[in-house]
Amino acid sequence: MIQISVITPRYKRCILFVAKTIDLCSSSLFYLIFLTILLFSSITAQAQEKNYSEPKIKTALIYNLLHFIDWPSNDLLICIYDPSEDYVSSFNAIPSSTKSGNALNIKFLNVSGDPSTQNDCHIIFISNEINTENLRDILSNAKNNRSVTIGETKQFIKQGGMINFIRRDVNIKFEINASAFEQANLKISSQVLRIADRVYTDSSYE
Amino acid sequence: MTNKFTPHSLSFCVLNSCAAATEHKINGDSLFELSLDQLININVRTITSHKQVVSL
Repeated sequence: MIQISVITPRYKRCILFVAKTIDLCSSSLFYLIFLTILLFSSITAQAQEKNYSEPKIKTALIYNLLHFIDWPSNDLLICIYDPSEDYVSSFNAIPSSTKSGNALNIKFLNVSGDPSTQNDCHIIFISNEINTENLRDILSNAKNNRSVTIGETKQFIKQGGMINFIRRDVNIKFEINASAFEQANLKISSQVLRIADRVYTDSSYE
Repeated sequence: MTNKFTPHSLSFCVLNSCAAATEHKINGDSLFELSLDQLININVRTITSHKQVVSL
């Protein structure tokens, strides 16, 4: 008993020291866990950013595809018929020049407007909001002006369109109407034809 | 006044730099810089996010 009463203050100091150490360790451990969670949530957030909306992917595809076509002029004009808000914001974000440094301009068109406004377009994107009749007229005008037509409807290629976007599960693929390119006397790279989901020729229409 | 590097300030910095990195990711890792192969293999976002991505 005597001994215990003598060494008790030492024990007290020792216990206090251990308690402080544990407290420090636990707070450090807490911050370590907190930081780990933060890092993981950051990685998850970045992974989620990898998913983009259809208009953004299609706009980027259009920008990319134009580099694989032999154009009669250097500066290019992309026209978009009746775009949704998503398409407007996507096309407004497109670079103002091609990868080779030529000017790239964007023009939004209204299907009820003057059809001659599409005459100077090198690429015409027709969204799926355009009805069949209007689509036929646009494609017919485009043929006369050697414009590359890009669409996103099931019957687009059959109606004479050149490039059509299709959904395959969670991805956007494209099909090419090789005959329409030939008829317009426009050359598209074989690289694109290899990547295309399907390449149509006159004999392959069903 | 010395700039003390406390666990709290560290977590705060991490939070901020993460936000900045995410923004940079959107703007820097532009879809326009990707190849055709990469573009046709990107997953389409099916669920509308509450966060509007402002640029490609």
